[in-house]
Amino acid sequence: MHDSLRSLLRHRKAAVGGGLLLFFLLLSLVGPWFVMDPKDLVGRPHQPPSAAHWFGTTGQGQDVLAQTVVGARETLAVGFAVGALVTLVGALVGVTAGYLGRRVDDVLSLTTNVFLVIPGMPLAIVLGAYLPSGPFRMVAVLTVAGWAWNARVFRAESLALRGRDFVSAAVVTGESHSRIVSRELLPNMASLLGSSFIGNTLYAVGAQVGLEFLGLGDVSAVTWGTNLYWAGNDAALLTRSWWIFVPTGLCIALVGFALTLLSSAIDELTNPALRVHKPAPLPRGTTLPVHVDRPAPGVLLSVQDLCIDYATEKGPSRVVDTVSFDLAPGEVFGLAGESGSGKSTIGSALLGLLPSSARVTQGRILFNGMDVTALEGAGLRAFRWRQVSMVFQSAMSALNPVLTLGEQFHDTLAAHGRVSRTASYARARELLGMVGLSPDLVTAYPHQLSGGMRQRVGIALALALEPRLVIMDEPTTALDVVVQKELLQRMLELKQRLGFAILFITHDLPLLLALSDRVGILQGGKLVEVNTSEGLRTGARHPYTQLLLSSFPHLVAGDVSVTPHPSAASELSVARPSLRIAAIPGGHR
Amino acid sequence: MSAPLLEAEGLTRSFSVGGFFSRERRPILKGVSFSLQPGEIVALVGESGSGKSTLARLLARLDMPDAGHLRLAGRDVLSDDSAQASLDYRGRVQMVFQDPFASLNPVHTVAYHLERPLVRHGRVPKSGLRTKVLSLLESVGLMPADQFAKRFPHELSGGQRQRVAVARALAVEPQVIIADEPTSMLDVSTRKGVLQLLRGLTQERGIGILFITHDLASARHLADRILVLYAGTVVEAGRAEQVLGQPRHPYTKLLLSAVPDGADFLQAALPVRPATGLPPLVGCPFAPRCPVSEARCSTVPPPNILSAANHLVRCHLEASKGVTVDASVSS
Repeated sequence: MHDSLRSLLRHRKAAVGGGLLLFFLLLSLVGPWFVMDPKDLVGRPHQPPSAAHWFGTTGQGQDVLAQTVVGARETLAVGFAVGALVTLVGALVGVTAGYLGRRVDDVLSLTTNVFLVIPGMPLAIVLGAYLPSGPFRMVAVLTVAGWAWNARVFRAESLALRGRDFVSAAVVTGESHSRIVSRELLPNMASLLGSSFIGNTLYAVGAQVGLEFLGLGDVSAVTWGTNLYWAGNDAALLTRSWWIFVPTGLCIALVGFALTLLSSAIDELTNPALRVHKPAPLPRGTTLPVHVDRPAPGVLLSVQDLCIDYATEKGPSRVVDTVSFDLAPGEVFGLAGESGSGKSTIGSALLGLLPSSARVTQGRILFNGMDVTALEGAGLRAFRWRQVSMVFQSAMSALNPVLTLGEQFHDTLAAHGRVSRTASYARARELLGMVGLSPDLVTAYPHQLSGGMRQRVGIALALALEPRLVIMDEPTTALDVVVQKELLQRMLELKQRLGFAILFITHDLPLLLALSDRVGILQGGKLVEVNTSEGLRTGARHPYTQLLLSSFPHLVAGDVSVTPHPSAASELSVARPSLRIAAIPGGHR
Repeated sequence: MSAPLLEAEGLTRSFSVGGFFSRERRPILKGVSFSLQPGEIVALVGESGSGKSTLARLLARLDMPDAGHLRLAGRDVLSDDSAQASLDYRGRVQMVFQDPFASLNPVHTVAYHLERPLVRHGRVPKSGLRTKVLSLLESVGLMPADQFAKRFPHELSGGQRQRVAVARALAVEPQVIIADEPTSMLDVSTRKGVLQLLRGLTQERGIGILFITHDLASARHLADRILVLYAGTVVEAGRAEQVLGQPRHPYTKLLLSAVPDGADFLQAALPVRPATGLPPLVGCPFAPRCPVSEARCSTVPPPNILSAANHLVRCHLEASKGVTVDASVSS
């Protein structure tokens, strides 16, 4: 909490917006004691600014400066009151509806929607005409007209939070509904509450000034809205008396500006995606021209001394540390490691898919003798998918939910050469049949398929351009074991037929040992052991490999008890640098 | 045998599918019965969509069944829905959730998470609160405890978070813990520690644990008994070494053959026919995929067969080999 306050103060937009707002708050609090009575007829009407009346006089001879300063008080008071009330009512209704759900939600949502379809301004005008006059009328009118939109926002937010396990955990703990709303849900909405309050205040000031300008407020009060109302009535424009309405107008604009700045600052501070990162610059690896070596015989892919750094706020963090391995055509090479071991980062680097904050700082990735790290633009586009393709972990998010499967195949094929839609669909049918799906699924949408079927589509897409290497990043982690085995068997069968090589990335070592020809073990970005599957199974050398192997329980007898490995476990906690790089984005297991 | 600690009988739950005007309901749980003894670990295995998590939510009383009974130490708990009864139940049955990244509130410290159940259930006087929190943290192996107590969830690793979640469940000194895939989101090297922690709890404190998992291998290591769930019904139940050593139901055999274990696991073919849509509502739900199904399988629901001592199989093919028992008798 203190941290977020401090960063709010350090933020430039927040500082400017906050400063402006503070100035107007002070003005409205103490200003009225220093100026004349705004209702006194102190001079001749329509006088331009002078020493006696700094901002001139109104059409009736009142002091404009006094009117502007005194007007700030009620305008801002009503603005903040409405802002707070609208936020409060909206949050209470929305969170209650979202959290309790069912009947309560039905009733509250219906009410909210009814208020939403009534246009706000006419409603406020009608209410304003019937309620007794005074500042409280304005507060009531604007709150009634404005709360519904907020309720929608808060309902959506609490629906999202209600599904989180910590709410269920609080229920299991025995917490009451009111406590769950006030201590578990609302603190998680602090930033939303803050930005809603500011946004609502902005709405309130604008709507209030608008209503009063139309004469629907209390015209005998002194507010910024009535100042403009009287300026209009006294023909300020006709007499070219700009000084009567410019100060008030400028004040309204500045308050609006300050509130907008504050609300945008809160957005930026709480939504990391909007924050402009200025990480410490990374040393760029020496840029070589695309360099073609004569490929070593029997080597398709050669990763040589690869280092990848992520830029963080605390300087570069090495995620992949001098990793070298070779992959032969048609080979299945497995990369095993836990979260933070850098296994997915290597996979992304092979396709030039590293996020902008990561960079290859050393080493080369040679595919068929060509350095992939030096590829850019059209060369990279041509290389991706045609030479090396990828199957992703989450098949649901890898497929576009609004396109049929046939369209997605067409997109992929058309991106690599002119091809008619008919030809694409024919190829799509062939590929779907190849992975064991019905060719008629070309017209299906991704949501109509099960997880296993979607992952088959992912494999079919990866094979569309007959690449020589397919990278598979945890393709079966989200699947059930039966589906996983069906998929892997089909994949190996296709590999036999088409002869592509596979780089298989997973945390599941037993699976990898059954699947791969050779396996590399990654720990904290370093490749600690590379051997054939058979060699690792029978004679793993590195203690970390041994620990990983012993961590997987087996079905067959031999290690029935969950025996502790005190020495291995303590070594692990020292050796694992996962906390150091915990801030780096990536899947966690 | 005395009354079991927790006993479920014929638990049934269905959810409505389709739009607002649709009356259609899809059954998720179809009469699930089981029992849990003090100090025992029962593993519930099944694939996604089998109803594992729905059952966990019913047992944690986060959801109500459509039909069936739930008894805690012989007393029916579903008939009394007063706030006091609910609080009383939560003081004796606790739950550990699957995802430790979601089950702790990011705005509260570790100490807050552990204090709340203690305060809510009045387990310790206000003065003893801090000592109790520290001793809870030590009991799950988070030391130095006073350091961990003031941290926020985002400052902990996945394994440490899951230990905090276990400590929270332990705070009220429950008799039953429902663990919903407690290790599936953790790295393998930290999984073992959490499993050992759970095993230790049953031995030291006599807590009964329902361990929900899709991982047969860890179920075999941890559990005394195993229930295999398919499409909302228990298809096989019995002692862990019996169910996994001599599986009787075709679905259990299928699951076992798909566990990645050994060099040749990908060579052996799966004993299954290709899946075709949702499991049928008539007859045996596994019939369309079953390699040995017969005509009666798709029309007559299979009976519960008690083939050996406490080894229950729900399959027509077992009918000749064991005694047919009434479906309401729990395993």
